[in-house]
Amino acid sequence: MNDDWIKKLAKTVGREQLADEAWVKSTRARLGAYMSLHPASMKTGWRFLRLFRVIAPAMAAIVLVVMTTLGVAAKNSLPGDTLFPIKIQIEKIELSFLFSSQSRANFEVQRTTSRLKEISALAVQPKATASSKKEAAERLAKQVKSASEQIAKIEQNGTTKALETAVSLHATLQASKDILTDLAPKIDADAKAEVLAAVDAIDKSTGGVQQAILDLQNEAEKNDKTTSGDDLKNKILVRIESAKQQILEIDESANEQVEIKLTIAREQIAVAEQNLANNNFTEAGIRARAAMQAIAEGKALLETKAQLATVTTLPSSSPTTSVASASPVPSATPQPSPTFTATPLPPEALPKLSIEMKSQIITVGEPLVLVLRASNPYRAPLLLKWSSSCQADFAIDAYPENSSRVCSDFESEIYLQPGDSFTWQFASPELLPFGMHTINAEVIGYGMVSYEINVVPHDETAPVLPNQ
Amino acid sequence: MIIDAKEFERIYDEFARKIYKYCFFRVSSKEEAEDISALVFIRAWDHASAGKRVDSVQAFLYRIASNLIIDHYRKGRERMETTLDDPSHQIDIEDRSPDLAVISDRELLLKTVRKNIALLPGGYGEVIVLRYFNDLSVKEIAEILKTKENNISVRLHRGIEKLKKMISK
Repeated sequence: MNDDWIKKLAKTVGREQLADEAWVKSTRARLGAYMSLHPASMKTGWRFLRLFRVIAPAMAAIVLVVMTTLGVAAKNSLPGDTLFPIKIQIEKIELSFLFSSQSRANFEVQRTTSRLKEISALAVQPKATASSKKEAAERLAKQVKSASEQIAKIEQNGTTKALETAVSLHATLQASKDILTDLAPKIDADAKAEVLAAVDAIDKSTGGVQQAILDLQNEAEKNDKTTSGDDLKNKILVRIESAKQQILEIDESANEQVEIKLTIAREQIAVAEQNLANNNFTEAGIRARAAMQAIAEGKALLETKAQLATVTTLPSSSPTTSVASASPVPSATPQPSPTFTATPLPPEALPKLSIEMKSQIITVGEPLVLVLRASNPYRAPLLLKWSSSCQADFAIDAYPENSSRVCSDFESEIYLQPGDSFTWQFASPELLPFGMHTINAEVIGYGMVSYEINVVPHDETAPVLPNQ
Repeated sequence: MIIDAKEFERIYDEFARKIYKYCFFRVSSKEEAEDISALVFIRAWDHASAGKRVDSVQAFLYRIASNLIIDHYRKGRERMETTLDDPSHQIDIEDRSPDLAVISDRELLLKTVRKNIALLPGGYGEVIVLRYFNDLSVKEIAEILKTKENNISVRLHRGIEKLKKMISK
């Protein structure tokens, strides 16, 4: 067998070192971390393990408790805090357990959200030091750079995935910029300067990512042009189906901007389908990609806004409405604020209100009993505060009036954990005439909710049995 | 052979680059090769740390790599989406016996070789990579692929002929 030519070829291209030494080194470190987490079993015959077997569970328990407690405490720390270096170390460890380049890129985008949370929290925190803010801005810039580098790596595996990840990174940056920009007019001059500095830091980081997205879009377009007609058609069909599925999974009602993004996505899908029907595959590909991008932006907006809403607390708070009221009967004693400092929602965060009654139809003379419920729909604790004892009120066919309330002059508050609710029960002594009536109930300073009832004579509500 | 943590680290140092090279010639990108190579050692440690015996470390690692690459393609991941399929990278070699001199750019040559090896049918690419790029003997390849040496020699012969034709086109 004459294999001289291939031996020569192998010598030219393959005999020398191909692996990137940085990869060899970093994989060795990650492997070491993996090995320490999955140690060899007793069967390996390590003698010292006999002793280790006895003390290992206790040691593991101690390490676990310390790591968990520290980890939880460090998670909410900010640059300048004692626990902040631990937070960074934990992130590094988490990253070391991610082996696929896509999951590492996704994690880098998540880390960017953490850096954005920190810079946003420090911008509105009056006591934050200049050095902490500087550190936060530097860390953000560094983080966006590593996220972009990781995205560049996954580009080699497929432009589509890299493009999605880059869009997600860009939308994350954009969403946090929007939140801080919205916040700026509502705060005093000093804090405003800090917030605008944070917006500026985000702006600087966004430019590079935007360019990367444009490059990836061009690359994807180039790939489409070199793909055969049927293959491209199938690829686009898969993209369209995936886009439709993703739209269904997003709760667009939660945010107006997300709704706009999804509307754009739907329009792009419609145009893509039209182009596909006309065999204009290149244009269909561009439109399908645009739809996927709009969806990725919507998702990132939703996630970032939910996360950042918990940290951008303005320095001043407490609702302005402090009015008297007819005393409602709270269903439970208001919960005191917990002693730990959980990150509260901004003051403009409102509870979800609802009125509950046994039935929307009541008979004449029947006492009207209603329950007003305030729930916390957010992922962070919600604090409701009043400057008097009056918390809630109601009126029938009218709006609750301040002048009719009698309140004690002391502050009160209710602390709602995510998903929790608080109820007030009201009973009306008033006898209502026949017909439709509107109940308006208010959690003072936090909004009003309406409920329609129908007052009917006795016989209209009597159950009708089948044999009657 | 029982492998402990220290021994395993030594094995990594000895084989990481070799396994990477094997993966590199069998998948479409550097990143995929890195991901699969890292996974080879994770799988190997999972096996070794459970106290299971390993007769030949070399054959064991290459076998894991081979299986992971098969899984990789079975899962239908998009291949050659970027550089390898780029028409601007196609080369033209006129002579039937490939004249390496015409391909001055080493990177370009590397891409061409990888692309054609990946296109070889029926396991020919695998034996060629193991024999010529990983420098293993026919006996060692037979051990990895759990087959007879004779079979490997036949595959090598046919694979080289096919590769020669592909590159000479």
